[in-house]
Amino acid sequence: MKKTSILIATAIAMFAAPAMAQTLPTLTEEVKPATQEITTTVKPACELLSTLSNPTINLGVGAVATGAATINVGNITVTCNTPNSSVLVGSKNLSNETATILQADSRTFTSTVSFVARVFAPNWGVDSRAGFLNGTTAWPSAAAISVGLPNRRILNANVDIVNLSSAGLLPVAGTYTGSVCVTVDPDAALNGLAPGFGSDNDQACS
Amino acid sequence: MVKRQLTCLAVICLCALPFGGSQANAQASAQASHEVRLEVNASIPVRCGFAAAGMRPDAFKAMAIGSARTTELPLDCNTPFTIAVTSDQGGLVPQDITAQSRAMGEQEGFATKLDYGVALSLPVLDIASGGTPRIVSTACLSAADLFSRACDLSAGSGLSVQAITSGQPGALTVTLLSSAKKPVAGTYSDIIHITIEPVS
Repeated sequence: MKKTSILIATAIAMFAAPAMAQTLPTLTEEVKPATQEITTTVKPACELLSTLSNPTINLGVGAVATGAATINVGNITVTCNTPNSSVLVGSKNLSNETATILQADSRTFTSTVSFVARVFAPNWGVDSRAGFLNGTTAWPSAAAISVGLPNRRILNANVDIVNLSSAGLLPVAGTYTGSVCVTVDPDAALNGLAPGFGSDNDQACS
Repeated sequence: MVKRQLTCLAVICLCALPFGGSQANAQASAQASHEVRLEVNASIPVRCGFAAAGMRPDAFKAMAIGSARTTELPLDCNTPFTIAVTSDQGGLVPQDITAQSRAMGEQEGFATKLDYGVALSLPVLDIASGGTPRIVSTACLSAADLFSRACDLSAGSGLSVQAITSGQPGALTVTLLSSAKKPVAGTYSDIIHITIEPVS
C-alpha cells in the first residue's frame, strides 16, 4: 500500500506541474470589458487672411482734406472657431514727420491728417456691421473698435479709409504715412475687447 | 465556467516477485498478483480576460490632433478568443457646447466631430502549429466604423483569434486623425470599449 500511494502522488504531480510552472498575470474579472476614454482639446483660434496694401492718397494741393470718398485698403477673411471672437480695427493718423511748421503758421497748416478705418462686411447678413475708430487714436489702442462675431463665423470684409480730415487746416506739402491694423481675437470677450492680448491673436497691418 | 478536463488512467501492477524461489512458487505468486486502476482527473478552467496590471485609464487623454498613442493591453487567454473594440459616439464630440451651437458650427462649415483610428497588435501562440509565436494585428481606420460595427474589430463578436495569448502584453494604438475642416473650439471626448471573450 505504501508503494501505491507514492505512485498516485507522482501521477498527480505530473498533471499539476505544467500549470504551476506558468507565471501568468492575475486576472481581474471586473475590468472585462475594459474602457478607455479618448480626449482632446481644441483651443479657440482665429485666422486672418488679408490683402492689406498701402494705397496712395492724393490729398490735393492747397486744399483742406475733407475726403468723403471711401479708399479701399484691402480685404480680409476671418475664420474663428469660437463664439467669443471679435475683429478689431485700429489706425494711425497720416502724418508728415519731416514737415516743419512755423509756430505762426500752425493756425493755418497741419502735418497730420486723420481718418477713420472701417471694416465693412456688406454681405454678412443680419450680423453685418461696420466698426469705426477715429484716426486720432494711435495704434495699438484699447479704444479700437470691435466687430463682434456673434458665433463661429467666416467673415469676408473690406477694410476702408473714410472721412479724411485735416481739421480745417491746410496740409503741408510732403509725404504722409499712416497705417491700418486689423486684429482677430478669439478671446476678445475675455480681454475686454482690447487688441494685442492673448497668444492666439492674428494681426495684419497696411 | 467552462472547464477542460484531462483524464488519465493509471494502471498500477503490484507484483510479488520471487527472489530465488522455485518455478512453482513463482506461478503461485503470479496468481496472487493484483491490478489497481486509478483514474486521475485534472481540470484547467478556461481563463480569458484582461490582467489588471498594465491597464492605463489615462492612456488616451489630452491627445493632440494628428498624433498617435499606444498603450499596453495585457491579455491572458488560455483558449481561442474573440476581441472587439466599439465606440460610444463614433468619434470625438465636444462636451462643452450646446446642441444649437454645434448645429451652427456645422452650418458654418466647422467640424464638430473628430475621427480617430484604432489598431490592435497581439502576440499569441498558435494552437494549430503547436504553440508557434505569431502576431495578430488589425486596424479600424475610422471611429465611425467602430460605432457602426463595420470593421473587423467591431463586427459581430469581434476579431476571432484562434490562438492563446503568449504572456506578453498586446498593444492598443489610437490615432487622432486630422480634420479637413477646422474644428470648433472645445473639449472633445469619446469612450471605447474593449471586450474579450473565450470561444466556447
